[in-house]
Amino acid sequence: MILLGELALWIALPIGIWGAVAGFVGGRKERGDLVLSAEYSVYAVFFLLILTSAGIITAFLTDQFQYWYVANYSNRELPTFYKVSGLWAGQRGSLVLWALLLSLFSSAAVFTNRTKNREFMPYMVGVLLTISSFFLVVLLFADVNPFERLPFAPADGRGLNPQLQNYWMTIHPPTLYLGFTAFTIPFAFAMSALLSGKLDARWIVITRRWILLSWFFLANGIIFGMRWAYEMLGWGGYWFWDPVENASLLPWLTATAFLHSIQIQENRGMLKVWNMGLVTLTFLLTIFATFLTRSGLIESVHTFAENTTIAFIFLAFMGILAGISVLLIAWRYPMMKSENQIQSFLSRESAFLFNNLILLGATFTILWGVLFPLITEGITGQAMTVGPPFFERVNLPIGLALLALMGIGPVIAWRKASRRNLIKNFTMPVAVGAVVVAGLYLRGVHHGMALVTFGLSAFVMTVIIVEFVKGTKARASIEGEGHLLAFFHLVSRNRRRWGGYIVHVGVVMVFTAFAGAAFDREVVQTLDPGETISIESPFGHEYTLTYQGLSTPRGQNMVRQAVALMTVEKDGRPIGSLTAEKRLYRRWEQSPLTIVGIRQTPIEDLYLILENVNDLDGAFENEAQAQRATFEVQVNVMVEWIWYGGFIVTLGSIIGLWPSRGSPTTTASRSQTGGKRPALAARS
Amino acid sequence: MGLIVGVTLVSAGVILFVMLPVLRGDWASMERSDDEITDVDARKAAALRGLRDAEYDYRSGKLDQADYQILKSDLARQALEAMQEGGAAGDPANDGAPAVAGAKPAKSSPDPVESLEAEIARVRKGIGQGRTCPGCGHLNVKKSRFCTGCGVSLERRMATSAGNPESS
Repeated sequence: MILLGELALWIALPIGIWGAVAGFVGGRKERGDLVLSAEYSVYAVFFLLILTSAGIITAFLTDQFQYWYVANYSNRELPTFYKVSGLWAGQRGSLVLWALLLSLFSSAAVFTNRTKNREFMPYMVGVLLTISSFFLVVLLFADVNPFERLPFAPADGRGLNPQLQNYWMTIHPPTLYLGFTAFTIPFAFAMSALLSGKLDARWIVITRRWILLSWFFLANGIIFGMRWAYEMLGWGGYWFWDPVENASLLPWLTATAFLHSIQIQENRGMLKVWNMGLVTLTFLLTIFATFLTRSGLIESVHTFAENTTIAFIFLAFMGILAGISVLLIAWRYPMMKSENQIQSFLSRESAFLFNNLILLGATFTILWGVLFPLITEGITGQAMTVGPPFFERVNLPIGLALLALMGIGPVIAWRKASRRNLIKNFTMPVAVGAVVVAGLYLRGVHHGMALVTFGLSAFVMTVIIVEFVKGTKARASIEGEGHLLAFFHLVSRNRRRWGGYIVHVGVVMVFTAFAGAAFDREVVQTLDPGETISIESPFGHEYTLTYQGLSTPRGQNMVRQAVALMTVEKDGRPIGSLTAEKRLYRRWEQSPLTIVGIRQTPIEDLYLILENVNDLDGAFENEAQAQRATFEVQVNVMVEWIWYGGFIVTLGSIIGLWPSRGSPTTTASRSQTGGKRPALAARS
Repeated sequence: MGLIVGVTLVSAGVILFVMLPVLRGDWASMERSDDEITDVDARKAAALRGLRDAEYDYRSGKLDQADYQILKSDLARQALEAMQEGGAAGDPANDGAPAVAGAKPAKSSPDPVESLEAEIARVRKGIGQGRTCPGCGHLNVKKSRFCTGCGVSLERRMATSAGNPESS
């Protein structure tokens, strides 16, 4: 199986190159046989990459340490679950996973378009297979072949980085990669539209769901990563503005801008060049995020790199793609003139445009921060990094402006809104926001930025609730339905709009959680068994934790494990216990892993870190005098709202993704999903 | 030995699968099929969606009546143009008359497509009643004296166009 997987990788490359050439030539010469062969190549590459991935996983499961990749990312005692996730534990396997997911989405796109949108398919398949072939070339010729053999077979492997031995880490990278690779489909359609000159709104209608699907995976991947950081990095935070974290955020920001700006193109025939630029930029940023994570070009807490050569190969590839995209856009520029102009500053188009500018502003400031070490190294010879203070200072006002726009946009009508209506519609939400700010201030909340965030969050939430109420009433009045049925039809007949509002609710919750961090508390104390540590919550109650001592069990794949037990009281009333650990994993003995204890509630988390055991070796030997340990206890305010918000974002995205029936917004997408032609279109 | 046979079979199978269309002369279509969305469909859908949103915005107090009327007439004209363009493209289903001509805005219709279609029909009927500016084609509110699209006197325009039927 392993050898078959290796050979499948070699066979996939010529098939991919053949398919790419056949797609472009077939499109150019109108040779349907070549186009069909190119489409079959997409399926074939997918099949071959399944064999390749199966080969790598088999090598992990059967402890084939003669392979460099297995020897460096696994060991005999590694639990089976993490052996499977070894596929994406390092640079080599991650590149295989990227290619596999891309070929999966490519096959899905070819299959769903086998009887429609045929004009786009030749070049679209050509672009997809060119990108797949690039990854295959890198895998086979850039010294990152996952099947590379060592001159000898070690008795055991180095083991998987302990920080990756966590279930969030097993789903976080594949989810992000699903988001990155899914965005290749809209990019390929966009390039096909440019090459074929079919630059009307169809390519956007065809790819709308792909864009949302990619956005959905990116959002979830980022949230999974935050959860992993919160549980595994042991410092009580969830976002450190690490280069790799930032790199995953960049395509999400531009994809968010794109999701909004395509609505202007669909509704008003405007921003065609802008949208073409955004789809290209987002795709390039997905490649940038992939190579940054796996290249080692920039130091990061989770850059699992081993070979920086491929950084330059990726940079060259990105440069070529960017150059070709710019040339194609310039070539087709005369065909992409705007059909309309923004009629009024007070219009939804205007709000969307501001949203785009702000999101791009955030993208470029973060990109600047990420690349700053490289730029300074190039100029001064010494890399200078910018840390969280830079990113927080720059992105705080940007985030607040975005939050405000989330409330302003829905209240403004398309094309033109009158001042009188704006005042009328804004009065209640602004009043609610002001009341929340005043109420919190009177209750002792005096943190300026947090107050602004809470006020804006209340404003946006009121706008969304009022939108749902008014929408339901309008629907009930127009259609003569009961309010419950009207609400159901309101959402189900225009899932994109109302699903979008639900996503906004989730985003507001996440923003609220960020603001809650302003009230976090922490206490550090060294304790002997029987001693206590107290911390006051910003909500007024007090937690008292009593140290019960250390126990030293031994989990799978671990050398040692020291577990500290604390009983917890809230205002003197026992509410349970918490444990925090130090673990020494096999083959990673020099870097003990900290496992935190978290007591989660909707308003705050009690977060326990075992910072240091004074005599870890003694503790492992169960010596009574070696139990003294240093603890950090934190009260993290509203952190749970991030995960709840993530769930709401997922729910809203699924509503937006769900195929609609009977709505004029899906006039186009019906034919895309192979259904019957809508009545209106048939009659026209 | 088994491995060599397996690898050979997989390689041969994949190559045969990929080359089959070329060998057999199977052709993939590269043309738009009749039941697919066209650019005209997309523009019409956008105009209809705009009409629906405008009505919703008007009823939820985001648009004044005057702005709503202007917006509605613009969007209706766009939809009509797209429908006429679609008809001109040779779709026999479109004979130039609305499918549900004369229908009210489908108060009890469960299908928004039909509701919007009825809206188009109503607008088209309105055009027939002479509320459209003969100069710029803008649909004005009943009894308007001036066109809200181009600002000219409608009474004068009507009188001029009545004297010259070809101009309308």
